Amino acid sequence: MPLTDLPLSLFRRTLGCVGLCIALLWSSLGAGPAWAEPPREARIKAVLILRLLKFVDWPADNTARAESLQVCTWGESPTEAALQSLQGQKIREREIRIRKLGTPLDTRGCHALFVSDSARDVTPALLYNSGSSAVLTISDMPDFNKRGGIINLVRQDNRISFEIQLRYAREHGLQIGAPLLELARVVD
Amino acid sequence: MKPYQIKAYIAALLSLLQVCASAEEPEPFLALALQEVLELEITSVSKKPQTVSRSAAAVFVITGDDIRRAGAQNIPDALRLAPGLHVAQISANAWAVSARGPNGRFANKLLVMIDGRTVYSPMFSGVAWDVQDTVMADIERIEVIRGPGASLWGANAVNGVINIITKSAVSTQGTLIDASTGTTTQGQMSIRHGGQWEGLGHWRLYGKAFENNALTLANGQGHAMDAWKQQRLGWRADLNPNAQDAVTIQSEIYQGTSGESALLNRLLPPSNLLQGTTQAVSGGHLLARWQRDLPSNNSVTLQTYFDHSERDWPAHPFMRLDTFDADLQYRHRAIDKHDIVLGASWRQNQESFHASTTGLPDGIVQYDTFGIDRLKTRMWSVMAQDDISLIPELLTLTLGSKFEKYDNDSLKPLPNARLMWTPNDDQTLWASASKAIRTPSLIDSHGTIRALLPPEFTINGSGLPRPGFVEVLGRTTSEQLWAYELGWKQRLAPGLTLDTTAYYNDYSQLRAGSFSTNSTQCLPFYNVPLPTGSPPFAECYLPVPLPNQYLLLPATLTNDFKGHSYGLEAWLDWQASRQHRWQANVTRYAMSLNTAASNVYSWDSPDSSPKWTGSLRWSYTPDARTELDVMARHVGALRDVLFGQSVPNYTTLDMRWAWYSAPGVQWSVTGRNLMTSRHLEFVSEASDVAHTLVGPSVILGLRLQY
Repeated sequence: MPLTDLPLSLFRRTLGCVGLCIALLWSSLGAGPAWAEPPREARIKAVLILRLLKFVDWPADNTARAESLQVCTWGESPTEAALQSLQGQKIREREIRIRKLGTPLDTRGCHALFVSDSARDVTPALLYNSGSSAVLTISDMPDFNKRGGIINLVRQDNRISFEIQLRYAREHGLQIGAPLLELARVVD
Repeated sequence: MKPYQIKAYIAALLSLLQVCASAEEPEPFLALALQEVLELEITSVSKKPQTVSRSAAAVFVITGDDIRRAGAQNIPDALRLAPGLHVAQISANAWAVSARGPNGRFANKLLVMIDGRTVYSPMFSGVAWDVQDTVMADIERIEVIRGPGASLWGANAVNGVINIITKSAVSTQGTLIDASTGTTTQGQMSIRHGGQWEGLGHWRLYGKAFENNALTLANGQGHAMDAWKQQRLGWRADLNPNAQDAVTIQSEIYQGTSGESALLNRLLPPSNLLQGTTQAVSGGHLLARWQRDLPSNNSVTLQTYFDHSERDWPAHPFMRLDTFDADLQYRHRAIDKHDIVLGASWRQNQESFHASTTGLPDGIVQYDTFGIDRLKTRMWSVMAQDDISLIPELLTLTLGSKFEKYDNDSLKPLPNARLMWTPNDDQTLWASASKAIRTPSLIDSHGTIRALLPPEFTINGSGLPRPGFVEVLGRTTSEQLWAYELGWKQRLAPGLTLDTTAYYNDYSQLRAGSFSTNSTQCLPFYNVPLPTGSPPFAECYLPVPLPNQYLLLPATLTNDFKGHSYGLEAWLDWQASRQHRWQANVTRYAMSLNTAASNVYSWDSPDSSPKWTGSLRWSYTPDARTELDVMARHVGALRDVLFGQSVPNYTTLDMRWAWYSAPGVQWSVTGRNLMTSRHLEFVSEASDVAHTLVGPSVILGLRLQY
């Protein structure tokens, strides 16, 4: 195949794929049950949360006994659903366990706590409770770190970025790695 | 088909299936490093989402937070936050909004879109701001692009593009109630509720209603009779049937009334009758958008909408517009160093109109009429744009063009070239050259405007002894612009960024009115014997008026004007600390027009936009519960809006204080136009609206979210 034909053939192939995918979509919509996949934004947030954990150090007493990293969630949202689908992934040789809290007061054993946007009303109670232990609190609700949360996922210019409330992290005895601090907007 | 061909075909089909299926692996994003995850784009209505700091255009984004913190009650209120945009209130429900150039109630060179649906009216070339509204808390962001955007968005994106983007239903779950009342409004109430369909997606239902008070007349006669009422109901669903597809469906209906203190034209004195009139407005739309993520980060988007609007405007036409639009975009990123967008779109406008006399006394001259009573216009276009990474991370060249065919007009290429240099993370330098056109409105192509001439108007050096009307016949083609821009975005220090743009605009074929005093008539013509050599309109200058006399100046709209404008826009943003944020901007603008023809006057007045504008905004967040915002604005004088009408400069102050009494319960007090007395912000260039003053106001608000 001559080199000059390459973009065109790629284009044709993609167009063919578009057509076929459209056909597949229609058949999937018509026949079977639709896949319950969280939207792209939620998937990005969920993966970002996992990536963040890599750069956080918990106090020794919290980590020593744990082979796994427990990410607890409170409230329901697409991001929470996307997190659930990442069950069993590994971060620094440690298995990620996602646990959905039954009651907001049950944060024992959690390394991180993701609070869904929909749980705004109970947030103060949650944060108060997790305040005594080394729990990295994360949420995508607006002004989360003004309410006492540590990491706030924010949508900015069509991308997800994050803010770290360093003072709260220190109060919880958490060490935030330098790579995170470079990429985050640090509020103090 | 021979058996081996069938086999080959099946094999090809299977391999394609694999290509398609390859996107369905567990979670592709898991392969990315942290930095790369942060670079992932969510999605956008625009052809290509880009970060502001890395875009080769003069873009400003008004965020949902900004809108809340400004206490904006409607979209024009929110637009005052964008540097370089001249927003001027004409009456309680009419605004003039423009960037980089002639402004007016019918400012015709600014394209406005809400969620990808154009709200720029082809009937009068402009935006009826009184019917563009939604629940303010549901606006995700407003992208304000100064300068042409025709190569992406098509015709009429001449001096700027405003993209209003509402939140996805995912981010509007739960219930929101926003209520306000104050000196300019009896009350405003917005209610929204969002929920989800398990495994399929999210939805929201919303309603908004308000009743705003009339402003004050500039002539001291008090109440401007321009009260504004509207009710709006809508819903939106964002569905994700699977990992690759995103489907959005939204729909809305509205109805309301917009009052006006109209100067109604009459043939007999008093020729200018001031009377309150009421426009009845209604409309709605249905929009569907489907985006599919393809392998290798490619994507395809199909969007289609239907929009209906009606306006019964006394002394103007009753107008009905039905728009159907379909748009297909394909984004290809599989070729190294290229990011290609291809698109095709088709639009049909069905317009119908008739003279409206609703609520008018007898003997009123229609302000504008059309030579036909219905019209169907069609537009189609194709576009291609490529972001070429000449030197990765350093130099990017954007080349693209739209090819647009509007009705009977010839196929017009709307090219643009942009070069962006990003020597480091803190700096972006860019330059561009682009072409744009404004397509003729119905008034430009099939309309007649009959307007009363202002008393200052002279014919052959003498004033008007009788009422004088200009009757303008519209028969024009597209206006053109070549724009050249230079931009510099710099992060000066952590939290401190500067964004500056300089531009030079070269306009041609601008709309002009051409008339000659030789064709001036005195009507009705009584054939009174007059000295030989007297002009044909001399009867109107007799010391004793004959019955029912008036002067008529026939004029035609032509494309005889050329012009150029230049300007400088600077914006500084300083996040001084967690509590304090400062934003400042200064805009300089100048424009001049010229023509080779004689006896023509321009329909665009260069001095209808201020030479200088500037603002300073302070956002203070002392703690998690409190928000305080103060904004000082200065708007330079408008020396000539049209026919010599001017507006003095003004400086004013807006403030908002808000407090959360509990999570999700926010109380607010917003003050607008403080520290100033009542003042003019603009006068309608359609000289039929009485001058109206804008004064200090206070609004109390409560927003509940649960």
